[in-house]
This record gives sequence, structure tokens and C-alpha cells, in this order.
Amino acid sequence: MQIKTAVAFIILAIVALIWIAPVAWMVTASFLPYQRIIAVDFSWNSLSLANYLSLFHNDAFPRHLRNSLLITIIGTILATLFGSFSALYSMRHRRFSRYFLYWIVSSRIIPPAAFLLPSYLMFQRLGMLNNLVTLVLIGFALNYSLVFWLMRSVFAQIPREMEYSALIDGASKLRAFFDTTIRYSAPGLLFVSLFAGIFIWNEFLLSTVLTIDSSAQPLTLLLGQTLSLVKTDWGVLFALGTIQILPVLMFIAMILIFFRWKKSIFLQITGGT
Amino acid sequence: MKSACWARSGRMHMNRKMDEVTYKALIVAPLLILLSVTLFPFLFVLVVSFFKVRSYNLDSSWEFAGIQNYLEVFSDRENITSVLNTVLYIIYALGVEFIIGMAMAALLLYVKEKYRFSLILPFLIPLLLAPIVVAMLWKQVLAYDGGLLNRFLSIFSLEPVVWLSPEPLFGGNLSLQQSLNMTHGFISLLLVEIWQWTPLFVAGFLVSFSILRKEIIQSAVMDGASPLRIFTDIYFPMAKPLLYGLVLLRVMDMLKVYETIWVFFGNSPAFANINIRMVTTGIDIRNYSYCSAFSIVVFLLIFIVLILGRLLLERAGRLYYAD
Repeated sequence: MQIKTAVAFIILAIVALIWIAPVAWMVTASFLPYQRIIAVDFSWNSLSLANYLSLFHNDAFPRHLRNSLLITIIGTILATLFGSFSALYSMRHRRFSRYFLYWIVSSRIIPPAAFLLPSYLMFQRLGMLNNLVTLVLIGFALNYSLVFWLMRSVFAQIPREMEYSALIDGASKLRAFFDTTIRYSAPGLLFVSLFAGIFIWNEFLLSTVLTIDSSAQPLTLLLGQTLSLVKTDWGVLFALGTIQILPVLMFIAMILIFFRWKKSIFLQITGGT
Repeated sequence: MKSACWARSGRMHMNRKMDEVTYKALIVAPLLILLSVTLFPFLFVLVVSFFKVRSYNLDSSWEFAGIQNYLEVFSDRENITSVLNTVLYIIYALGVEFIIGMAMAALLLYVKEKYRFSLILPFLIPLLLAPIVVAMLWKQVLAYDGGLLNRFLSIFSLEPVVWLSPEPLFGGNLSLQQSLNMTHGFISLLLVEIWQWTPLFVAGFLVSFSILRKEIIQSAVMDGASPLRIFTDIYFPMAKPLLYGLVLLRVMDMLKVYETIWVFFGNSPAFANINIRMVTTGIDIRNYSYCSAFSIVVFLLIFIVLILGRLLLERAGRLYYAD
């Protein structure tokens, strides 16, 4: 049994190393000059921040970064707020039709290409092309259903009786709501909103179609544009990519810390499975 | 219980009215936005697909075309290729992800529980990366000259491979391989897809395997069942319901793939999937009615797949509860 365990551990460790190698390569290579990347030649002395500095000297990058941050933060707040309230409403009012639920989930199922053309024409007609508001709306609409479904499973585990007992103890309705339901769903709410945030942060296709220049384009589009140039400077691209995946890496680090601290959060999100 | 709480005073009654209004506002507003970006566009596409609409006559009168747009869509080989590419992509990727995911989860079961989490963590990273970053990263990794993978192969003194080319994978019958998309370029696309999404299956299998109580396995061992038998008759049926859900989720997400193909091959028709095709016809060429008709056809296809998937899911549920 011991030997089997050891063999399984070694195989998995090797596979895990192979799996993480491309990402590790990207992060490392973002500190290397172009010649070294092409030659796959790593040495400690050649590490430098030159790629990142050239990004910040670039005119477009700060604007793209600002756009990305604005779209992500506002879109996430909207999606979380409305998504969780709708989830709560749909849990507590049985009138909420099943077909309504199907429709909400269908907005996540349809491939974006199917509503690409009409939303392009619609926003063009409204004069809202190349506008941050448009991208916030799109980010919100794409993630509303995600928040809705995940929060339903979080709220399902918080009995409403807790709220009633707070009311009987003399709390005001709002106080009862915030001190029981919201307080106990807070960790779940945090994780779901971070999840939605990452999806908005990563969005590419609709942003391509709905924006024209760097006044409204998010960071993902800068990556795409830099890629399609004739001569690709991998150092700068990798630096961009590293900045783009930074929130994800932070999110995973957070999971790691939370997992040690409190396992119950995960049980809450996954519905106990 | 509810009425006892609320009907204490008139003020409470007022509050309740206010709450109803707030609740309604909070649910109606987002649904309206959702409506404007999903249902309205769908109806628009449906109407446009029966007219002749190009960018120059979008604002003036539309000429009725009947089903002519649909006939054009079906007679164009590039559309059929793009649908075939999408379908083959889903079939190949799902098959490989399923098998690797199952094998990895089975291996993870051998490892002590306290090490499992740290072993699974490296696999979680690709899941959340932006598709455009993944595509950019793999374009460098798969590059013929100075790519990481070819460099890795050269350690074992293997010949460098032109990964991003439409060359068929094996020698021999070329046309058969090409019609089944067994080309270097397509395999590269699958490689990226598998790298990014197999972890989801690993996690799914692991979750459904670890629900199983030890006593059941022990009693099976007592009865003399072989490890293979235990796997096929106990572990796999346990994982089934969750897996149907995962497969459905992946199929839906694979219909959204755009970035990898665009970064690797641009708008090349040999590798285009439905999304690339729609952007080409609708946004680049601006043939609105043609793109709309294609959208409707694709939408119907997806709808059929969804219904089939639901039927399968229900059947799986029945099997699960019958056992």
C-alpha cells in the first residue's frame, strides 16, 4: 500500500509540474529580454523589470488598465447586488416561475456569437459603441445568471427561521435581514462575486466588437492587438499576460488561505458536495 | 408564522408594502437589462434573417427575401466546415478530458487526503485564466522556432514539429485525415483546450469519488471484487450524475471558443468555428441578413443538442435513483 501511494504521488507531482510549466514559463519570461525568451535561456542575472517599465511608458496601457478595472469593479458590484437579490426573491416567493429560471440560465448558455450582431447594431443605433457603460452592461448581463444560480445554492442553506427569531427578539426587519441572512451568506457572497469578477475581467469577444479605440477597450484587447502585430515582442506580451492573470493568482492564493482557515465556506458554495 | 410577525401593526404593514416594491424593483431592473441583451437581439436576428439587409440599406427599406438567406447559408461550404469543426472539437476534447480526468482522480484517491489539496492546486490555475492569455501563451509555447515545446522535444533529440500548420498528422490517407480534422493545427487547438479544462473533470471525478463511504468499498473487497470491477461497478456509477452536468457545461462553453482559434489562425476558414464565422460574415463583411440566418441555424442546432442533453440528464437521474 505504501509503495502504491508513493508511486501515485510521484506520477501526480510530475503531471502537476508539466501542467503548471507554461504558466510558470510565462511569469518567468516576462522578466527576461526578448533574445533570452527566443533561446529559452534562463539565468538569474538577466532578470529585469524592463518589459513592465516599457508597458507603463506606453501610452495606451494605463488607459486599458483603467478601463478594465472600472468595467470589472462596477460590473461585479451590479451583478452581485442584483443577482443575489433576485436569487433571494426567487427562493422566498414560490410564484417565481420555473420557466423564468430557465430563461435566466439560458442567457449563459447561448454562445455570444448568436447575439453578437444584434447587440452590435443595437448599441450602434443607441450611439453607445466604444463606451464604458456598454461594456459594464454586457459584463453585468453575462454574469447576472451566474451569480443568480450560485447564490441560490448559498441561500438555500440559510433557514429563514433565523430571521424570524431575530424579529421575535425585537430586531427591526432590516437589522434582522443583515444580521442573519446576509451575515451567514457573506463568505459565499464574497466568493461568488470574485468569480463573476474574474469572468468580466477575462471577457474578450464582445469587447472586440463593441469598442473601437483605447478610450474604452479593456486590457484583454490590448493583448489581442499586440499579438496581431507583425513582429511579436514576447517579453512585453508576457508582461501583459502576467498582469492580466494577477487577479486570478491572487484569487487562488486566497482560496488556499481560506481553505486552511475555514472549510465550511467551500461546503456552502458547492452545496455540501 | 409569517403573518404573526408582519401583522403586528400598521407600520409593519406599510413596511411590507415598501419591501414588496423594493423587491420588485430589484428583480425587474436586472431582468429588463437581461431582456435587452438576450431576447430582443434574438427577435431582431429572426426578423432580419428573412430580409435582405446589408450595411447600406440598414436604415432604409428592407427587401423581403423569404428563405433565400437560409438557402445561401446551407449552400456555402465554409459554413458547413465551421459547424463540423465545432462538433469535432467538442467530441475530441470531451473524450480526452473525460479519460485523463478520470485517471487523474483515480490516482488522487491513492494519495493521502492531506496532500490531495496541494497536488490539485496547480491544476486549478489554468481554469480561471483569460482565454486570450492562454492563447497568447500557447502560441509562444507551440512556435516552431524558439517555442518551449519544440525546445523540450529537442532535449530528447526529437525533430521539431510545425505545430500550427494544416498538415495532416500521420502519413497515408490524407483526405480522410483532413475530413476528420486530424491536422497539426487542430491537434494544437485541442491541446490547449485539454490543458485548460481537464482540471474541471479531475475535480468533478474526485468530488464524486470521495463522497463514497469506505465501508462500501471494503465490503466489495471482502466479496472478492477486483479493483477494476470496483471501479466500473461502484466508483463510475457514483460519478455519473455529476458528470452529465459537467459534460453539458463543457459543451456549452466549447460553443463559446473564439480566442484560441483567432490567435492561432486568424480567420482562416480551415480552422474557423461558428464564432469566427459569425464575426467574419456579420462584423467584418457586414452581410447582416446572411449572418442572422446563420445565427438562427446555429441556435436551432444548439437547442436540439440542449434538449437531447436534458433527456440524457433525466435518464441519468432515473438510473441514479433506481439503484
